Amino acid sequence: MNDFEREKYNRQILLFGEEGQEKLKNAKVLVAGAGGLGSPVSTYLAIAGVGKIILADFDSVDPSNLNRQFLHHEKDIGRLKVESAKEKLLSMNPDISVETIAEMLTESNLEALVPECDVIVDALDNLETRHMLNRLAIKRRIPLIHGAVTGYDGQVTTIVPGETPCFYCIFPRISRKEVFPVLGVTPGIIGSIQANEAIKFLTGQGKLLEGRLLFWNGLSGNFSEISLSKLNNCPVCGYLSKETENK
Amino acid sequence: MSRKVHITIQAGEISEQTVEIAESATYEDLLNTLDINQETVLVLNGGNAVPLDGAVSSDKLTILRVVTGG
Repeated sequence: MNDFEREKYNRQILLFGEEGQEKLKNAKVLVAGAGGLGSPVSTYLAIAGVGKIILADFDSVDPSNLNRQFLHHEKDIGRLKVESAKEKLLSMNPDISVETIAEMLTESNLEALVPECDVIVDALDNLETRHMLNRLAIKRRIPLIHGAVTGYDGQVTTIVPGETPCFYCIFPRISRKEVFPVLGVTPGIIGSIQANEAIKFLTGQGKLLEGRLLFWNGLSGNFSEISLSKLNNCPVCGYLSKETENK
Repeated sequence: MSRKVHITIQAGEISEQTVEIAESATYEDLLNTLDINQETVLVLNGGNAVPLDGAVSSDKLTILRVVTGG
């Protein structure tokens, strides 16, 4: 770490030391989705100094994105979201690297497209791709930080393979992708919490939202949480529980 | 035989109601009674999410709307 980096990250080095900052610098994080959640998640990871951010999104910037997806500006309408986001993130922190995946993630290309990483942040807008990423996270045994929003409501949980219920345990059904109402502040709050989870995991600080689903309701201004349980015979993560039992 | 179950529905705003279901009803049956799409909610018993094909085992449940946007 050079002197400028020490100065730039000084206020968080006070929290987790240069050792923690080096961990962030050496980290690789997949942010799946460069939209409402992806904007705050990738912004906070970038300015915290996470060394490599892999951004995945096949979509282009649309005027209806602009109330919440603050990495994209009016001049970016029509551009690939990953290109627009990469430009802003590198402008905020030129010392990191941003890799982009501009293809739609599918069951057949997921393994090949997603490089090795330390943690996956779910900033997606549909359950189908979330289930695919869950299977990948379980297979690679890396944490998946789930977030989702609608209207004034949002939710977050951190899935740790073998330790916590997986995404399938929590949401076994797949509902259709729909156009949802949302205030820009809602993904701002939820995405910030997801980035906080990723930074805690990478630096080894604090207590993760493991086995807990945290809810935010912006109308009442309340957070609440529920505890989550693994499915008895989860077809996705069940084999990990059996491995743990056999040890 | 039937039983009464007190339901708190948390979908942005919070609402409460009591429904009557068959003694052997599952959570899926309960959601059908309430005309709620199973794909859009979690049913919680004592704060824990329950598998929807299980038999209703409590007279006090919470139904949470699942959010999927990003």
